[in-house]
Amino acid sequence: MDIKRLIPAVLTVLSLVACTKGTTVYRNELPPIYPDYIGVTIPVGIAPMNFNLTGDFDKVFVEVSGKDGKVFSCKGKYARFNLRKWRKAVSDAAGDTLIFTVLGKKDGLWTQFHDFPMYVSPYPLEDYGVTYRKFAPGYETYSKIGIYQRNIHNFRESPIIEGNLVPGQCVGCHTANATSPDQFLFHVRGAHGSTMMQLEGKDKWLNTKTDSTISNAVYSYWHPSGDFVAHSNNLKISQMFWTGHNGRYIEVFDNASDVIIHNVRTDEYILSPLLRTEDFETYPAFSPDGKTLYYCSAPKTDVPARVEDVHYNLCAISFDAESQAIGDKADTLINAFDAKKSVTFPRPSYDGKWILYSYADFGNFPINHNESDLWMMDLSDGSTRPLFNANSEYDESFHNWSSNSHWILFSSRRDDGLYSQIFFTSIDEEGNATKPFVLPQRNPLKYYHSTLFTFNVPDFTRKKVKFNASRAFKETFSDKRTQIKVK
Amino acid sequence: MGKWLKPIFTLLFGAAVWLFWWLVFPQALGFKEQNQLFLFTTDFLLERLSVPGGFAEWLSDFITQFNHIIWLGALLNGIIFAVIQVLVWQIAGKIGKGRYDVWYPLSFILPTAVLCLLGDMYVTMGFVMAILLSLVLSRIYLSRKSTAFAMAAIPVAFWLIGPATCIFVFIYMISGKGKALRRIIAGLALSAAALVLFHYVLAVQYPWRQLLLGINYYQIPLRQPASLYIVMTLAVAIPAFVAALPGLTRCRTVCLIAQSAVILFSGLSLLHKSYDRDIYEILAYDQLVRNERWEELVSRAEKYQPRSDIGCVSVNLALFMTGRMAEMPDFYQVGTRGLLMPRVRDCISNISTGEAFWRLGFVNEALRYAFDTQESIPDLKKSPRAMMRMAECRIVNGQYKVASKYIDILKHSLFYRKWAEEHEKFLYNDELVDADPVYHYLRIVRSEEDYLFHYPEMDKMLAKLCVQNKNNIMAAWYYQAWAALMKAENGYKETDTGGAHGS
Repeated sequence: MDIKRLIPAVLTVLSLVACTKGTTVYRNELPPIYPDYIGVTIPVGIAPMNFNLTGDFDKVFVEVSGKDGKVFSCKGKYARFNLRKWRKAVSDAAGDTLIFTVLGKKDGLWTQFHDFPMYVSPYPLEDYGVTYRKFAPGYETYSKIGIYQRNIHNFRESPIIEGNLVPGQCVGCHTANATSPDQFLFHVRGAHGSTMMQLEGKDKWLNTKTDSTISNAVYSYWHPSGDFVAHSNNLKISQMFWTGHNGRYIEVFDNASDVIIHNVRTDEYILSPLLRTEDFETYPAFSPDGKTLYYCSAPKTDVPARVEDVHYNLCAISFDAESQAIGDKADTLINAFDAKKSVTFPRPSYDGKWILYSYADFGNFPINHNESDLWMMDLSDGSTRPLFNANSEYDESFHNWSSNSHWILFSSRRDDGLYSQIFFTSIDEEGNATKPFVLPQRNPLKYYHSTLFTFNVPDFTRKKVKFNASRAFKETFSDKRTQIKVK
Repeated sequence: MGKWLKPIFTLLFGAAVWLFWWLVFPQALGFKEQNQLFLFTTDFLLERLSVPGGFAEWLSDFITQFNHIIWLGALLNGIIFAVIQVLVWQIAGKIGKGRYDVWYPLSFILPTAVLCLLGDMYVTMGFVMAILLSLVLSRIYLSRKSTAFAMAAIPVAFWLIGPATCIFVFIYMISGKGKALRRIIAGLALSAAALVLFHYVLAVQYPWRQLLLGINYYQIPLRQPASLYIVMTLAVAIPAFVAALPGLTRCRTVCLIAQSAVILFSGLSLLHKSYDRDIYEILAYDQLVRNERWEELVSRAEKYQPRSDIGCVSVNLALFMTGRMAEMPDFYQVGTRGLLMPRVRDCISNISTGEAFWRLGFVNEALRYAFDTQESIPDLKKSPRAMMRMAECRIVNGQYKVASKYIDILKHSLFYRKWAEEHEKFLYNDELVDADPVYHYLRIVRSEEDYLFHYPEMDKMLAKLCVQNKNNIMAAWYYQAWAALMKAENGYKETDTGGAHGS
């Protein structure tokens, strides 16, 4: 017998005996842990995947073993792993498996469950972390709101901007250029509304409404060159509320919408009649080569009376950055209207292979649609399919790609049906998703169960976002804006 | 002044404040209580401590929760105001070379001014606690006059109490040991350094102006009235003034009586002006609705009814609950808005309409109004009253996981723990929910048809409820009342609202 394997095995037995002095019963089932990390695939470098053992256990003992049998363990009220040991174990297990042995103590009696695996992806996740907005999910009013960033390699969260700084205003839709914080923007809504755009460390506060466009900029996406941003203009985004009791509460819809392109160097809009039709055009996104603009379009419909008949197709139009010209022909890539479905929030992978999107029964706000799932389009052949492993009975939405296009994150309400959490899943060369895992927290059950915040519009960020928030109040309330013109 | 007269004056003052809150304006305490949720958790404490002035706010929330039992909350308030008065007197005695008992009534000016200030319902108890803590700090400092203590306490107090620390800083400047100029420079420099540290180094995400004026003294950000700072000035000026006043050799009793009379009458007059009758009448209705004291509400409205939409909604709801809805025309009416209000973004307007929606069977709307009410609390706190209703709505709708979140949060409070534990049994147990008379009824009468709620078409939506369940008496009454009020609004012309549901 290989001595290298024997030593860890002996150590395992010894530590189990040491930890579980007294009677131990074996339960022939997987441990009831929160969050569900059983069989998930994780990247090297991820923060410790701490978890709680539910079911009134007073204590939990967890032992983690890797392929070479190296073992480390933790014991306490919940499984809280040592950061250094965790990193080493995960790093050593890249492309392989970690095995978790879990025992719970209740009334002096230890119960051992089936071991479960966590798979360590061969694809790294090199990005610094994630950005997201937090607020209480519900209806029309928000109180505490803010855009935050979280280092995914540990548990550190820091604010980028909080609503306290701009009282009475709403901050949202932090949008970076392909995960790079060198170029990002966010919108401030309210009486002193504007769009804050930071380019290579310098910020400018924009008035994005012009006489020729129907509204301020809403949903934005950067051109890979960093010289342009595509915005949607959504006129009177309305919220209405369902009266029934089948799990749906809110419906968000536009009364009109267009797509425009913003030259951020000259602060001019580039308009095309094909993107400003009577139909509802929204959710623009550039291809990674910058030559194609994807967007969603639905035939104009009488809303709210026929809100359930609003179905968005996925469309594409060419864009030439050099001449700043939008093509003269729009193509429909996915005809969801005919299928009585709705495609929204297209997010092309940065390697140009896939487009990830939300697929719901109708409308353009999938976060409020339990049936909304993530689907993927293979750009090599145009085929589409759902991301089976990633989807749940609740909504999946607000997704995006890591900088190396091997990881996606998305928000989902699968935990309780209301409070969105951020999930990560790995995408392999064939476009298959692994079982997703929720953003790790130091004490996940306590954190997620007690928080009254939802995680909204998450995205990866390659580096830590640097933003001088102390200027935000003055800039916002000065109402001094750079006015965008139409080319 | 006799040995016992001063404590008697203080006791009488404290008792007066107690009775004022308990018997005259209990609704003010109830309103403050329902707009904060004190939790006995470390996270709650740390969250409060993460902003300047947070400790004063945490302490105020701790005390405010006792307003749940009005007499107890009022008693605590009485004690706080009496302590403020005593501190003012004690500080006056330590600032200079001594003070004379004949000026004792002047020490009541500050707590009386604070009492008047609280007539503005957005002034927080955090402000009161900040003043109290700053006075306590001043008192401690004056007992030892340690410069080291002052140097250490100023920046720490700026974090724990907020800018009310200025009271302590000024008292230090005018009464410390050593050269006055040195103390002034030290006090100002330390205060400025603390604020600069908070703003630029710790990057506290609040506007500079709010940091200077106090984050948690007034519920509406950046709208702090000047009166707050006048009161803070009084907290320094009165002890200093009393300390500077000379003793009297004659007419001491007359002087004592004259001071007391002036302070009493001007205090009462200011109190009368500070507490807007209509606003506090509406808050009184709100508390009566909360406690389902319908008869009392109607009889109160019979005596006086404010001209407001919210008041009408409460009165009309109470009329229905007492079986007197036919008497609606005998009460002031503002039209359909007085029956069920459209959503308004504040923390008071929607509550009565939410209560009506709940009883009508518009469960999702009751949830929405409760949620929006909670999220409209200007200083971003949570509301136990709204959270309980949100939990109930989720229970009725079978969304037990979300309900359990709210219930578990409420279990960390003092006064809602029992409610939370009692309602925990409903989670994931449809049979128990169906066995509960209220929840069972709501599951029967709640809107079956799933359509988009559209306020302008309230008549149609009420009609749908009636048609769906003939036993929904409230929907029938409200439908008729709505139709009658709509007719009155439109000059008895038939109308057709059209809209989301068509005609």
